[in-house]
Amino acid sequence: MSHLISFEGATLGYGRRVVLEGLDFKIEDGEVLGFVGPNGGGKTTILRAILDVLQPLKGSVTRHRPSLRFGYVPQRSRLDGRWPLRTVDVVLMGLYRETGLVRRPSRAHRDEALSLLEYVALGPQAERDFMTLSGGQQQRALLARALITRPDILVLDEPSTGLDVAGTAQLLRIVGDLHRDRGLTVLLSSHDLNTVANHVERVALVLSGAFQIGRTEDVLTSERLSELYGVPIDVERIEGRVAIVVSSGAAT
Amino acid sequence: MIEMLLFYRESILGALVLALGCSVLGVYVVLRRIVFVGAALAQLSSAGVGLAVFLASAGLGLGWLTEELTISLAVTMAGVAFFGYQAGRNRIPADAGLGVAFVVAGGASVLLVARSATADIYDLFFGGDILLISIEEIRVLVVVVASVLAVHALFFKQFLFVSYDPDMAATLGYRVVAWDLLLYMTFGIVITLAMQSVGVLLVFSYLVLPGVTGLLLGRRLRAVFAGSMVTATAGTLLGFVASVLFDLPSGASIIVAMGVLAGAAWAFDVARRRTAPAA
Repeated sequence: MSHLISFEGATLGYGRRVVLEGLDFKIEDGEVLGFVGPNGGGKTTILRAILDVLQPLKGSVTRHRPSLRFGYVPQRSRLDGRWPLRTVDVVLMGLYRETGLVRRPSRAHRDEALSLLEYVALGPQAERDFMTLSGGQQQRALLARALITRPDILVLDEPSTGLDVAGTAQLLRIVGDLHRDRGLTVLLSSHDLNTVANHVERVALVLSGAFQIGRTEDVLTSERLSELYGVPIDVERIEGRVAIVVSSGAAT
Repeated sequence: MIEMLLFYRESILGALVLALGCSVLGVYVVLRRIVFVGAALAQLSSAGVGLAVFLASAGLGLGWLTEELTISLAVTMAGVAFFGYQAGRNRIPADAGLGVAFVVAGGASVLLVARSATADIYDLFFGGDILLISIEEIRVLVVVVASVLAVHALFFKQFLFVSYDPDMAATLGYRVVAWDLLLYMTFGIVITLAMQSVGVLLVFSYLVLPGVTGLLLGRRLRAVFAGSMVTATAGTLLGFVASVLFDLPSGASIIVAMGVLAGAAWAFDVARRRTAPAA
């Protein structure tokens, strides 16, 4: 596997506020890498550095391909529900840059957007107001918007937040298919350990002063998670699936 | 009544030009939740007027450099640069920052005029009487508002994208701060000119009421813009008719007319949602 992005001694933060220090890791072509950790630990900060919208305060974040394209699926809660936009219009935003400075998306672009909405099982909802969709549908529409940029790397920020079990499963199944069928590199951040543990090959535990990265089974251990979260946590394997739960004896 | 309206045709034309310009900008103001930006920039503009009046009275005039429009535009653009750059980057919420600018600029403009020897406090507001608008001012308004609307038509997708989803826009390589600054600059230019012609309160009303009405009526963004422009136009005409018929102040009549239209749109939206089938 070749490396797509390298963090070398990278310190990340905003202004004078340091969020994460001394990050050294590489993102490999075609892998599925998860970022987990408590809320506010710095997962989104790492994603912003990967997306090149946040420059490191120290060290470097190097992209090994000059024309690396990202498909970004943001946290749904960051989008304002008052904007009266059709689902297909939200997807077409992914092509705004490609259409140049003043040109609007063409009919061909619209057909492409509709095709991707079909792919994420939202064909009938294309003309509906985006904010009237369910949480899972919105997340799949944002996935379609990310895919329309023809990305090398798909970046999902807290994709399961606010989704029910079925919605999360459907979204992650599509992401899994994209990885398997198209060899897409997938980066996934979540505070939900179970979501990440069962869908990634490598995982990074993100917390200031406690950044660790490695194979999922090596990183997501009872000892490490208990130490990180400050409560006893069990990591069990049930029929090939990982289940991460707070020990029944732990104080709540 | 027709004769009376024809007598005020310059005022009506000037108000309609401003109404159209502000109603387009107002959709962004309402949807981006920066309603106070209109008030703050208008108040900064009036502080610029106050500074010009003060300099002239103190004998510190430097020709066109210290004319009311020049200083007013400069002060407003300084506000635009500050608000555009600071949006979302500060611990202070955006609306609080705008509120600070509004009250401080308002206080400063009153103090500056109060300390000038040749003017009194009301000079700030007399400059903004819609009935005193001249044909030269209308010509300038038409050129400036048409230019601003052309910028908005050309860069619609950029303004939409950085307003709706700045994170995704940045990911795709858009310079979000630069596009925000350009958007705010269009606010500043129109507000400064409008302030000179129609005053703080009517400018603020044009930026808020049509946008709110458009949002209540329209289900698609295009319909929201259309609803906003129709509301501003209809409110302006209705307000003028009412002011002529009942001998009322024209600016206040326009504001109340647009308020009535917004109230009707709200009632329509409530009724529509009550009768809509459950999704």
